[in-house]
Amino acid sequence: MPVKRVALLPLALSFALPLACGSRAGLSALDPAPGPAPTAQAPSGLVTFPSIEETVAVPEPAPPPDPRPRPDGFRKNDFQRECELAAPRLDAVLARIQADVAAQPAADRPFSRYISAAFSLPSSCRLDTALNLSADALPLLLNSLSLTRNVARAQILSGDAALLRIDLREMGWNRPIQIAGQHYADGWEVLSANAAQALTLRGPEADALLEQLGTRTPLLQAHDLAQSALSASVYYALLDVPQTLAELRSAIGIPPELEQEPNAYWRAVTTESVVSRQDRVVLRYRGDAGSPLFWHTLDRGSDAASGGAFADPLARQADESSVVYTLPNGLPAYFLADAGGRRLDASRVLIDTAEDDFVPRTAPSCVRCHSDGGVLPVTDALRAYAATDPNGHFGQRDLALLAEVYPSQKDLDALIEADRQRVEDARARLGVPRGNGGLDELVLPYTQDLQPAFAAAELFVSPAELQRRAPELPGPMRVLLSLGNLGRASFNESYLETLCVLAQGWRNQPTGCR
Amino acid sequence: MGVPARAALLGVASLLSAACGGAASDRDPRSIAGVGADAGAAPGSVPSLGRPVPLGGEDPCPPQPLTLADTLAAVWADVQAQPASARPFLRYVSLAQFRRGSCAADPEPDEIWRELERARRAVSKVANLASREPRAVVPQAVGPESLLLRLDLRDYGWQRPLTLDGRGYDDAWQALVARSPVALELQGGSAGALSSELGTRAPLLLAGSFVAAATRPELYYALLRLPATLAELKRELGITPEQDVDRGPWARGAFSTSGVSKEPRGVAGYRGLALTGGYFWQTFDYGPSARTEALYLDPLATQADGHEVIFSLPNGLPAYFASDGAGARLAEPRFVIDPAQNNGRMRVSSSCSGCHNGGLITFTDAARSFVEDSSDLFSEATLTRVRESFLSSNEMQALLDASSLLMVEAAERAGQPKGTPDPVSRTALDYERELSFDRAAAELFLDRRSLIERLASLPESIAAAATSGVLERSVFEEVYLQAACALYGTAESSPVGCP
Repeated sequence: MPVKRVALLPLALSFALPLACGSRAGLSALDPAPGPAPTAQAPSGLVTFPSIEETVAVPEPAPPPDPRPRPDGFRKNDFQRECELAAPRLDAVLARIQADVAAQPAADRPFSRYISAAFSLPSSCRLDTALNLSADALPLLLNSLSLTRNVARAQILSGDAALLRIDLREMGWNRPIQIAGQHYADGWEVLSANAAQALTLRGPEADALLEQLGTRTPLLQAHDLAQSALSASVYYALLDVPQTLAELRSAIGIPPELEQEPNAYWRAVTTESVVSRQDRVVLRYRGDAGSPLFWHTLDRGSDAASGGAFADPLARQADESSVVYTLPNGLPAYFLADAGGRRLDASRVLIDTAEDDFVPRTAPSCVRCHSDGGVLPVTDALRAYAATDPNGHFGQRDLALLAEVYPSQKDLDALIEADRQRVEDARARLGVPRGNGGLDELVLPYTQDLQPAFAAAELFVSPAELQRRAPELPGPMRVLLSLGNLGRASFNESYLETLCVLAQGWRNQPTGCR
Repeated sequence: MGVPARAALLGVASLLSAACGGAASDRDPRSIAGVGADAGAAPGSVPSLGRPVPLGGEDPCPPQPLTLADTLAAVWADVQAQPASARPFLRYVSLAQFRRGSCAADPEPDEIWRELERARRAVSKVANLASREPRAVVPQAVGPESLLLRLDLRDYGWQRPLTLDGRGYDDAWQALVARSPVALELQGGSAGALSSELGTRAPLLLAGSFVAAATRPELYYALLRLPATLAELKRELGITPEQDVDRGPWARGAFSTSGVSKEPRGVAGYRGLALTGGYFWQTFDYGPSARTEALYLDPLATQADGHEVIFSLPNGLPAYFASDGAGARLAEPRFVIDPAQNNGRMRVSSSCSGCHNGGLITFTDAARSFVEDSSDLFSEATLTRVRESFLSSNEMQALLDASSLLMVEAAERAGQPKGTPDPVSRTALDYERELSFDRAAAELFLDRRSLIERLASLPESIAAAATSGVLERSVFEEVYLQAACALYGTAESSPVGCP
């Protein structure tokens, strides 16, 4: 009998027997007076965690704001349109940033950074639509990468430079960060170092901005920023995520001694996961109603021969675990761990059909599924199995514990809905619009091959100018202009070289040109 | 934060009575679990867990497979009718796990027929796909309702010894059995008699298991005795280094619209004399970080991150081979995907078989027009060679069509009617999907009711499938022998290897 019959009985009896037979040992643990949990005691008894009823009592959240207007009737996920709208030129963009910086209080300037929405001009076909699209998506991105409780905003700048301004302090990015031994002055430096199109610039406006902002990279393209921010190493670094699952649990306030209790989590076993070929165990820590959410999964490799999730319904071991927890601002964050609890950048056992190689990665794969409402609905199959117990392997105590930790489907649904409401509430507080497709508007364009108009927008020129200057451009750009499309990786590899050619004669130019 | 506000012993009251001699069944489970009991719980159940659920699934017409004893009896009857000299080469594949019993409300008789027929065609096609004999042979349908297929190993060249992962096997069947987790070696009774006649303790395989095993890369390569490198393969087929892609008679193309690769792909088809009446096509595949526009900027290059090859077997059916950029053979090409697989992995040969069921995939070359448009980038010699080897779209299509016709006609000779979907990839995919409880029962030679009656003696994962309705294939494979031993360990014909 693989259920922890052997383990459970001593666990329970070690508390119960002394009581029944007159010993005073353990009485303090029975003291019903409110106060700290008996964490000083050895975790040898089953403690009472909040019930489903207590946990699902969530106030109805205020509605989040609606998406901003898109006057051209921009169609969602239509990333293939090619309007011939000219993107703002780099010199004009930098001049607009300079003017905005000058209008800010001097004390704020070192923390101001700028994001261009021009990448979507060829698909949105109007400047205001392009700006609104980024202004809707950026709050979710910025707040999902924030260690503060503050609202992180992206302010639209007036004019025709397709720009938004952010303040590093709102996300807690104004702190030194280290990744793999490399030191960065702040979060923006981390993002710039990992953004394929980040430009260090020189020239009149660029030099002036260096004085005011302290960076030669005052600007990132919105979709390039998102790509960089969601890459695993940057994502974990911006959120100061620890290296192990145990450290993560501690960091969000789950006491290790309580976490080990056999009833510390609500559970479900699903046989219908869309990201795993194996049965999947889903656990949710039973913290106080106001504490951060902590969901995690137990996943097994496709060749695992452990007998399946039904063989040991109280198991804690897995080949991998995916975690969804909540940040101080209430938005979901993600962590992937191997069998030893060590942090992973990419899954070895799950599948993500949206990725070219089907490998789920932190965090793009996570946000695709979970950024809207946190945890997704789960249909549990274990409870019915235990209730039926077709081969009679469960004892009464096993069944009692299973009944506690595997909620009925109705209770499980209520629990997930309550947690979804909590995330919704956080989104409303943070001004994240509803129904705007999550981060798709920033992430998906980056996964598509580029067409000439999109390349032109990212290169600060019009499609006509790009075509006119084709003979001067590097080979990959010739392919793009001849065949009509080019892969993102090839475009990014040619980006600086191409811009160096195009920027000849501009007031401001990239550094690093050959 | 995160610490429960109240901490107390759980279940103390109920545990007390058990620990001090009270009956556990007297407890009120609500006092243990702290979770509300489901109203209307059935008497005798554990109320807090809810009602027991019906076992075995809701299919109104579950499979009615032949029992193991009936299957062995049918095989024995057929063997006795064959010449003695042929018997050592006879093996059997059972389709009986797809057999449906009669039921009042049979909802989709066509689907039932399709499932059986697909499996029948898959067994025949996969045997011929893994054969280097000159002609295709369709296995003989025998037994009750023609639910068994008789294979003669000699028809496929499978009577020869083969080596797989350094281990030698007396014949291909022995390797197939070794690589089929859902396979039984049997002893005693009719199985013992069959062993004497056939020389094997595993006279039969289930159709799904047979197809899945024969299409798995390493066994597939071993069955066809394919070499370890692309260069050796070409040499074996008579394509000398002087005739290779960079110098020889090849038709080439490059395009950026592949359905299996996000990157541009190159394709080259051999047009020399070494393969008269046959075909040899090779791709040039690239990883996502490669500067894949090199296909256009250097169209005559032969370097790539990987290659896939389709070439003709003596029976006309296609053989598949994948390699890395250096030509070393691969089981799974790295830079192409199979959208039909839920992990996206393209596997030799089941993925290939599905994609190329109708022959080669049409493409439109984009390299020649780029070279013509950007002639300032290329030398005269390059331009000349590009014009020789990058054919017009009509010429390329004619070549593709000729190869495709050979493939489709050969498949027809192997038992797959023209215009029908590929039976091999679907059967292999179906095998790898999670099993229904009914399918698990059928693969254990039982119907639903019989398996339910025996649940108490079976591994827990099979009992779980009785309530959840599904069972992971890997778990079923892991417990298959254990389950078979529980079911047949004391039968006249019993599994070998039971504890």
